[in-house]
Amino acid sequence: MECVTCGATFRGLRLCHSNPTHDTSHNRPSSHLHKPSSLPSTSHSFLKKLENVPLRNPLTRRPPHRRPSYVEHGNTKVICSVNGPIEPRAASARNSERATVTVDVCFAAFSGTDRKKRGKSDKRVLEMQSALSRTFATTLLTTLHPRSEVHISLHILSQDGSILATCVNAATLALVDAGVPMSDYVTACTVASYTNPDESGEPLLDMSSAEEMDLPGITLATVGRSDKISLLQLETKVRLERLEGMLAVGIDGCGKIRQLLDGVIREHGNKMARMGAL
Amino acid sequence: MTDRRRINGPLEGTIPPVFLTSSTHKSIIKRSPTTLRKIFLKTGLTPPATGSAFLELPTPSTHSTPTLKLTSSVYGPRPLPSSTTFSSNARLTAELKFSPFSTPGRRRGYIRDGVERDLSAQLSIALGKSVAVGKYPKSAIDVFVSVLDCEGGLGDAGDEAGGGVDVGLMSVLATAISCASAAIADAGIECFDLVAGGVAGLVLEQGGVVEEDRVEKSLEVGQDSDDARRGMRKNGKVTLVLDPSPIDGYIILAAAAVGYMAARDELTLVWTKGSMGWDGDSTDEVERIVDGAITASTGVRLVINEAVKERLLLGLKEMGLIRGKAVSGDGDAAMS
Amino acid sequence: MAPLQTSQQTGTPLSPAELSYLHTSLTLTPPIRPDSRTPTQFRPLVAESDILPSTNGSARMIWGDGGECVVGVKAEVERNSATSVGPRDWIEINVEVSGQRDDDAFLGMTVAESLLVPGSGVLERLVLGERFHWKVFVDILLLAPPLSHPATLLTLTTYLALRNTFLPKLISEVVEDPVFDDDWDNALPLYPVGKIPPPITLLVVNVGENIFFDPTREELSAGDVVLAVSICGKKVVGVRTLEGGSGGVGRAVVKRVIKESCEVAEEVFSNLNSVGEGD
Repeated sequence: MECVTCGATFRGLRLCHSNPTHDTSHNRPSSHLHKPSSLPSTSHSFLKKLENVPLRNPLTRRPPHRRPSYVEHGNTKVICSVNGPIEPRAASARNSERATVTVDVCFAAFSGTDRKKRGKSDKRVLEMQSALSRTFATTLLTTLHPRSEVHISLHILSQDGSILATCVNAATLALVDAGVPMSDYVTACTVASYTNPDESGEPLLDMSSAEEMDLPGITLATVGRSDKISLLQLETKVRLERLEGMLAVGIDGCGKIRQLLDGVIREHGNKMARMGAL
Repeated sequence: MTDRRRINGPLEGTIPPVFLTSSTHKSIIKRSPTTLRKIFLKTGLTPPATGSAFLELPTPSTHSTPTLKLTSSVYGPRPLPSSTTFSSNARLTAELKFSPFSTPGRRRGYIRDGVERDLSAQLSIALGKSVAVGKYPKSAIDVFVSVLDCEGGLGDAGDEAGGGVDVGLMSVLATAISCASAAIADAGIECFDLVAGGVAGLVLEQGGVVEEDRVEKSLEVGQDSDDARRGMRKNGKVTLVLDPSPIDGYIILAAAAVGYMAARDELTLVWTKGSMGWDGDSTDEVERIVDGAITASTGVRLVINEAVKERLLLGLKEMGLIRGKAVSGDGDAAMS
Repeated sequence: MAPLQTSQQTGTPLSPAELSYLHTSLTLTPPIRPDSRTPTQFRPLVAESDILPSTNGSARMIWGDGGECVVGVKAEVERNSATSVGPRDWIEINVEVSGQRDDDAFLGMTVAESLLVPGSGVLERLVLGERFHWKVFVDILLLAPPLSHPATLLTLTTYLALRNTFLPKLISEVVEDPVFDDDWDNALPLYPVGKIPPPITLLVVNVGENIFFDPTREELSAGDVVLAVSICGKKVVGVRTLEGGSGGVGRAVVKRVIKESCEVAEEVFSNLNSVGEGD
């Protein structure tokens, strides 16, 4: 998908509510196309019974707060489920003024190129958790649910750059689906600073892991249609004069993702309404 | 001038010490396949516990070979801590622990590992179904089994099963069930029935060394093993062994451990390992192995009955209700 | 029999009256299940395989009651260790339950025991020449634990993942360091179709003489004994008793449970094998 102003392109992006079977945007380059196959597989005797038991969208029969969202940025794949607002599980999460947002990030051991198990107290995981919980604590209308907790649990199934940004987008989708009140979408993307041979200095949108290794880049998240940045992370050095251009591209990219999220959510809502779930 | 801080090797060459290997693994099988080992079972040995029992299998001929010894103690019914929610049934928890010195190979740590948690869970399942938990609301019954000595075959590194499945854990679990059941009876807790544990295995009968080599080879190939087994089954080479021990040196194809309530004719626990055919042969392996394990546990049940009865008579004698004649001399309840 | 008492372990919020009703309706002939399924009928589930490009094999499954499970299989080349433990630890299984601090060792053991049955022929496929072997990591991620026991969900997902696991083809000689074919299309399946099937575990609960497959949480607490039967191809490779239920089970019923699960397993196998071929 082309970004309007800068012409930067996202990698294949796939967003879906609850289930990859209901994905909407197939914009994935065919290079890493692996057929996502899905069909209800049941015992034979169940199939006979199918007429009596209407097989509805599996997510509607799920208990509330258990509906995960699934987001792919290229080969980065994240599943997020939101539980809440619930009674805080730990006493430390109880605040009489507002709801607290807790985040669990879990890297699947098979997500990287080599198998690696990350513990719960891994530095990088903790940092991501605190960044995410602070971002969403400002956007969610936490004052509506005092003395409760909104728990976001993120599972990274496959990593190929822009992990934090993917997590933000997945969490937004899941929060909207769970019906947690929030002021607007929070969408995120990454921008790399890149020097062309002809010194034009065009920033790159949406870094893959190979690009993340070599290029300095930022992760930024914006709130809704406004240009307000709610998360900005820079882990390397970037030339100051480059930063403004990168921000402009990033904000544009976030707006683009917001449109995509909005489309997915509306379609999902329509589908739910058609099925009579709403 | 030699460097004093350097540790020099001995001037003359040395010969590394050669230890005689213990011949536990390939010992000759003296027991017939359908004979159970003798069991020593005595209740009421741990004074502070409500009920307790000690179980020991006889030491084989050589003294260095390990055997199975375990104690079990039962505490309760005692009140649940006030923080827990109301429960209309007694909560039965069982914990099985290997002593650090119990395993023949490596030392076992104090921290509960996965094997112990697994066995504890199975033990509490097997016992929980026999105890009348509905009779004791708001109370807890805690069962502790500690393994003092075991024969190996626990699936640890270094154990060799010769291409078969390990039965060490199964016999530990089965004896733990029997021992804990005796301890529960000793504690005077109401039960529907006593549970006895039994193990049975399907083994490849081995004639000589040559025969054994051939068997191992066929097991390695994997794909052919089924065919080899089929052939062997036809030749009557697969036999049922009750109460197999890891030190018997069998190659065990499949094994089952059951918790069996003999008076009700019901099973509370079924645990099998190894692959078993079911394809409607005349010799259905599943049926054979489950029946075998039940037969084994019926034998064990007789020992539990004797031990419990003995303790009861002793108690009655102490109270002066009967004359002392009824108790047997050495308090040894054994069967063959 | 079955003394009417709420199961202490599963802790279902069923009153004695509800439990008695459920127990009665399940002991009828023919039995009536709360969701009007037949005794051998499974709840609907959604499955997909080969979802993650960075793994050797992967699968995802969503169970009817909200359970969701992702399995990724990864293989690494490892040097044969001097202290020969043998091929016992060449397959490592990890179960991670979302929201739980510890990995669940008990669940992993159920899966591992059925995977590592001697003579299944899989371990022989992991040998790479004289000095190296494949080490296979099976990571099971339980994103949302189902309301009933997760064993069936785990093993069905693991089955799908293992059936789609491919290992690069070895092109070097036996004595050399292993060199692999770069072409992924030439990769060899870990479990060749039609030769060795990966095992699955089915959960069966008995209520008196009746037996039920794929029990719900309520059925688990009303039943007598919960059995997990592991089946590999046409062979039973393991039976375990799980928590839940109250009371014992007759020996004839146990044998019937095992027999019927083999028959049901064949249907499950054929349905699982159709996953991925449908589109």
